[in-house]
Amino acid sequence: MKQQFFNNLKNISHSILLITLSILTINGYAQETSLSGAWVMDDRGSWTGLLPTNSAQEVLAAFDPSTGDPSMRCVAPALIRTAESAPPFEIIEQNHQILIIYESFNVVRRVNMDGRKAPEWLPLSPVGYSVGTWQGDELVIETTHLTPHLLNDDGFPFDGGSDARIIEKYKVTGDRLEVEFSVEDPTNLQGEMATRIFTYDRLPDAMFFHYHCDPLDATGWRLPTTENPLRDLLQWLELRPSIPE
Amino acid sequence: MKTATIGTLAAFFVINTLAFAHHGGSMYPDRETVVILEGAIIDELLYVNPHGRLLFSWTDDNGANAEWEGELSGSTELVRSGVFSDLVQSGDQVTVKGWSHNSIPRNLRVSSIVLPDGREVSLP
Repeated sequence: MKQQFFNNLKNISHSILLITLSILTINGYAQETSLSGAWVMDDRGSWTGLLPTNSAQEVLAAFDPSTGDPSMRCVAPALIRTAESAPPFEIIEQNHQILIIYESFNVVRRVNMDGRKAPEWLPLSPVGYSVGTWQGDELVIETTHLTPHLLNDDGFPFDGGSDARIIEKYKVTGDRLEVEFSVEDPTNLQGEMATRIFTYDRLPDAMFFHYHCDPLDATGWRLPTTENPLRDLLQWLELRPSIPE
Repeated sequence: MKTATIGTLAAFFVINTLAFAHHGGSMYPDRETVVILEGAIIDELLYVNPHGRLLFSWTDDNGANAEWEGELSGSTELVRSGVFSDLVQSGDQVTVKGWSHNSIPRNLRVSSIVLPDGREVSLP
């Protein structure tokens, strides 16, 4: 009787141990393949296929980095340049959407996972309208309704609007996240698509900060000094936001 | 000693791609040639986003004094790296090291600062 009791206890203990191990294994796998969590830039890669059309070449030639970059006025620099920022970002997976929250410029993206399509009247924006689908273990995001912005800080233009879109592919391997950005923009790109791959590291216990950015601080610095101070002054005055009385 | 040293110090400076924020580096493309400005006098450290700014003056060997501007990472990246807004004070004499802007004169991407007490602080 006593022996049978101990045998039963032993069997129950083994079962509990097996169940626990199974749960830990499943959790571990989910952790390894989950997009959710904080990520920080490891490698920015480089563009392939970023060949400007004639009109894009003119824009590039005229670009003045000291005044032509909207992010220097605290305007969020749209998808790709936000994604290449040094501050970390967080991904939160929900059933109906995936949230991508960048510390940089406090940018929040909502990737619709329930098949909702963008209404025709939807205004263009720096983050556009994103629809995501899972293709195996890869998340594919198509983003449209984007405002014109820069793909690089050298002023390479992205047209946005109805003809342009950005496709992203997210894949997690252990604590590494690879994101491939592909850009379609017939106005500015010679080829069908330009592509760039960023690699991020998982950042456990990440601390996020509010990204305070005041245009008065951003443009109220010492005048940009070039060989033409009058032009510098005029450009600075044009950029400086009006100060309420 | 107020000399500007320009040299290839790639062996001593690991190029930190994380520091470029959204300025992917094209404004400061030559990361191997480090400009070293000894005897720079701090005017102001602007601890802001999207980029911090170090305003200072520097007098060359001919006695010509000019205002310079150094670009830093944004304040959120600086604080994450343990670099705080009290790093330097107005009037401090320091050595500023960095990479030249590709079109704006007297503008550097600051890679490190040698403080008045001799400590060199690398910047993200």
